[in-house]
Amino acid sequence: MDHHLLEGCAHQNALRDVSPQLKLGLGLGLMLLALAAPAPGALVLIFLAGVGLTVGAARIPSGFYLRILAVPAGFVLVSSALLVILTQGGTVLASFDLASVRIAVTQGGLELGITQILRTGAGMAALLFVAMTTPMISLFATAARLGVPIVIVDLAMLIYRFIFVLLDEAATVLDAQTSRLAYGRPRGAVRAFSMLAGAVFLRAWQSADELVLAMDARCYDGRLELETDRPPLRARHVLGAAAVFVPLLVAVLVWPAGGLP
Amino acid sequence: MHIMEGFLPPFWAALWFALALPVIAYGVVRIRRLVGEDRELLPLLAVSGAFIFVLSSLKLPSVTGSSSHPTGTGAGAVLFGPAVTSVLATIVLVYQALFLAHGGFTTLGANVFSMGIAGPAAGYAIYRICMRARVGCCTAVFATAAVADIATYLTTSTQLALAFPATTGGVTASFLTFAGIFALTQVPLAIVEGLVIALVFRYMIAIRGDVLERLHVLRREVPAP
Repeated sequence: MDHHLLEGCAHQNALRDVSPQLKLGLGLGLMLLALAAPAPGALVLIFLAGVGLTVGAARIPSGFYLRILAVPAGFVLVSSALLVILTQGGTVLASFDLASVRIAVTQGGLELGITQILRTGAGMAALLFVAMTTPMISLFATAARLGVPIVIVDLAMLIYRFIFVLLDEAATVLDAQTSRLAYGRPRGAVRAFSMLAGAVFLRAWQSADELVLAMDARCYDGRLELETDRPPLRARHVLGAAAVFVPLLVAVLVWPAGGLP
Repeated sequence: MHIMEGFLPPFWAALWFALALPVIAYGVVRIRRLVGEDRELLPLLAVSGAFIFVLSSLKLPSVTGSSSHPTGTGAGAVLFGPAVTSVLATIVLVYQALFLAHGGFTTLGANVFSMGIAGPAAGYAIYRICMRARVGCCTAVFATAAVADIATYLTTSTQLALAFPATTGGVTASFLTFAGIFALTQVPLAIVEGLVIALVFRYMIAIRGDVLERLHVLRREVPAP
């Protein structure tokens, strides 16, 4: 069940001894660049940098990477196709009738659609870099330092823990149900799925109760200890991140917005 | 349904952050007070947050195509109220971005507003109306979950329409197009999620009614089946 969580590969990538703050900072920086970049060419460069950092530097298997990158593709393609139709401007490239509604594809609409696809691609590549190289557990201390209230960091840590408890429980119940052909018909599927959800919630509730007991036994005073920031920030990692970020920043600043070829 | 990283222009990304932050801050204050009164609530809140995450990462077997999944925030609104649910949804959305590549950071504000604030608030309003009208518990929960889902997807459509108005017809035409296309998956999904959450509640009342009593869901004189 947990094989499709990106958390798994974040624990064993080649950049795991790089400071989590640096990786988060670089990833967020690339996302902001992707939002700000006016030129499609700069977006392609940001996308390539994100892919290069993740597949090249962090050595995430490319097949796995492509499968994850396909996750948002459906939403992006549908939304961008709608934008192409909704936005009109410039020369009409093609037009057709769909159920008595005239649909025209214009230069302006096509440019917006393609730019949106590139922009989302660049943003997703930056997001995947953070997701696939930075284990969540190393970000809690960063979150606390950034001013997130302690009670929320505690809550986030407990949610993190229970996600894996619940996924295990759900996988067990799902196996048991599937082996009894519970998902054969739609009606039965809805029933079986609700029983699964109910059972998983109740069992998680029980283990939450037990967790409180265990925490009490260990003198829980309403505060969980945070892992200290490890690994530390190293000069050569900062230089490496700058070597990726600064050229892209320059490209975004100097590359003027222009039409697609 | 979430807006993916990079899809919203900077102005709109920032605006939705600005609108979502006060609600999250209020939710944090409420959580702090709740946990201060009864610290056993912290693990319970955590289980509910994890539950929202797991529910949304399990695809419903009967619904095919698209990245559609139940949001689970309707249930959260019934259990804890909309403000606390918005905080849970924020944490869950960060995890969905980091664990499933679903959503994003710059679009987090917009997604929190649709899934964590608009959806639960609409669902909670319906829940209160149902309670006042003395509708049965399962019907009330069904309505809450379905309305929370539909409100979430309509808010997302509005966000997309505001950011990308149509050349002819403006925001309205754009909204109708987005809402119309997404309705194909979201409306059946809302009905299925409503059914599922209602059955979950019935199941939980039958097996462990005391759990819901502690959450004060049953205290409002809901007739247990």
